[in-house]
Amino acid sequence: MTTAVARPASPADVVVLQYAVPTRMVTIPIGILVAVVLVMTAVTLVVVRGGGSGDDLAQSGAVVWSLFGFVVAVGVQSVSVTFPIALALGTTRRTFTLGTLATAALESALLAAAALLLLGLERLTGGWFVGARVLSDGMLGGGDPLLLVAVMAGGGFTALSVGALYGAAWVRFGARGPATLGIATGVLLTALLLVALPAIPAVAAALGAWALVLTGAVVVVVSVTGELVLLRRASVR
Amino acid sequence: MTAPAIRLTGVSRRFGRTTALDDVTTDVPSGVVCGLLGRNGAGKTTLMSILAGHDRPSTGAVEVLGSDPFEHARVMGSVSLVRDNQRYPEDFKLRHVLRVAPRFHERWDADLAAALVDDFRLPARTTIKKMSRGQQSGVGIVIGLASRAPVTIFDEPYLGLDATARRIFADRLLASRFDGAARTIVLSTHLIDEMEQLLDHVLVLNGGRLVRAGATDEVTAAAWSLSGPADAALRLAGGRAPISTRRIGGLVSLVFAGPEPEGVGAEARAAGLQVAPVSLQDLVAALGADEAAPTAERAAA
Repeated sequence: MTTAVARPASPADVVVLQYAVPTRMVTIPIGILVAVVLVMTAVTLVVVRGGGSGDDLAQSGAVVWSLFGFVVAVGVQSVSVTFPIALALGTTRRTFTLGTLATAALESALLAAAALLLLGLERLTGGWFVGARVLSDGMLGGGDPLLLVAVMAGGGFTALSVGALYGAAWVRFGARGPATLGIATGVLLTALLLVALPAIPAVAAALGAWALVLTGAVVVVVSVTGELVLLRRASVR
Repeated sequence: MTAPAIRLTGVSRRFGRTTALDDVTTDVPSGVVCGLLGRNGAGKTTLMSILAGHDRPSTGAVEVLGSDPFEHARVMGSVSLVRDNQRYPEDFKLRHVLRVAPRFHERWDADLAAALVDDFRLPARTTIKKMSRGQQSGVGIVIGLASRAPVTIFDEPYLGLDATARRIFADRLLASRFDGAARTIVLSTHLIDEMEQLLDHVLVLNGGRLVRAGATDEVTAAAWSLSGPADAALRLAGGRAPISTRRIGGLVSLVFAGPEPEGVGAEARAAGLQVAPVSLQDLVAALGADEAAPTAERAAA
């Protein structure tokens, strides 16, 4: 009698698992984007009625502040909630981490595509008929579609990766994990700023927007490596 | 000779100062239903986690289907372990499980899954988190049995199941053993009397130590009991040390390791005592009552 060995799970299988319930991954993020558009349009209407213009709110950063906190939470849940069932279904930690990374890429592409579509509508409607600047906000590239996609995709990918790292810390150490990681990150960033502050303006001027890209890339690499290291030592009990 | 499905060599697992598994060495043959038995805290769940690659031993070696399961993609893909307290994503309903699980188990039997869902009367609209204890056990059984994973591990599959559902599980488990390929099934349970007929092989843990392992009939044959009036029983026991002693009023029941000694039956009858084989449940209870084998917590203290 022989015993067959089965096909291993792939990162694509993990992506399907992450999107099994689309509410968290699709409906709510896009709902937040649409809600921000509605609220900012209403606020702009009030400003216009008060004698101002939509340009007065062009640096509000409404989308960034409203959406990216939730995106970090999605990243946390992509590990903390999904890892136990992925393991039960026979996924290795390495495959799970790769699948979660692929999920972050897909999710950030989805956010960028939704934002791009809304930017198109914003332009077509002259700022939602009241001159509102929600997707053409200064923090989203000031109406430049390429910059909007870069900010949404890059920012989303980075936020999801950081969230996944915190989710892995929770799986590994329970509530102590994210708390310790948060404190350690704060201390490290403060020390880094104290040491590098004098050089930052020169580096930022030399690199321009690439400074943000490089920072995001470093954060993603550190987050994914940290996630894998934490999950390797994690056991679900 | 067929290679064992599971091989453990000197496996220990420590959590800080607590020893959950202590130097476990054994083989589980391929194609058997293996009962993992013992008291709460005996180390059963820890052992199942290690077999499924969910955890690693502190020392020792584990082989499942010939390889160390930890981070071994093909082996982990060949093992199904749904825990008794399995966590699912918040909004997961039955349909999400049935949609996702086939991607992870290439031999998934959708017809069997559908039949089991009907058998256990699992609700479609309720999130798994809000299901009753028995319904959650039913979901775990659906995943385990329909996965047709070469090594399928059930952690307390009976929790909360009614008598009808338990019978259905037993019948389906028996049927699932003969589905074309050798399938090794490991299950932990406290309902030993009810499961004994299903078990070809048993591992009995006590305080993290493996105290019995082997074919079920061989394990039960290697113990016998003597019961009756305490004075007469203790006199007949003589220098033999029982693995458990149970007193009820003036009566005593002693369980001894090893085969029944020749002639002891006649002596016992003459003294008004009873010698009998030990059921698996009684043996496991006797081994669990052994004060010489400390629990993991006491060992760590």
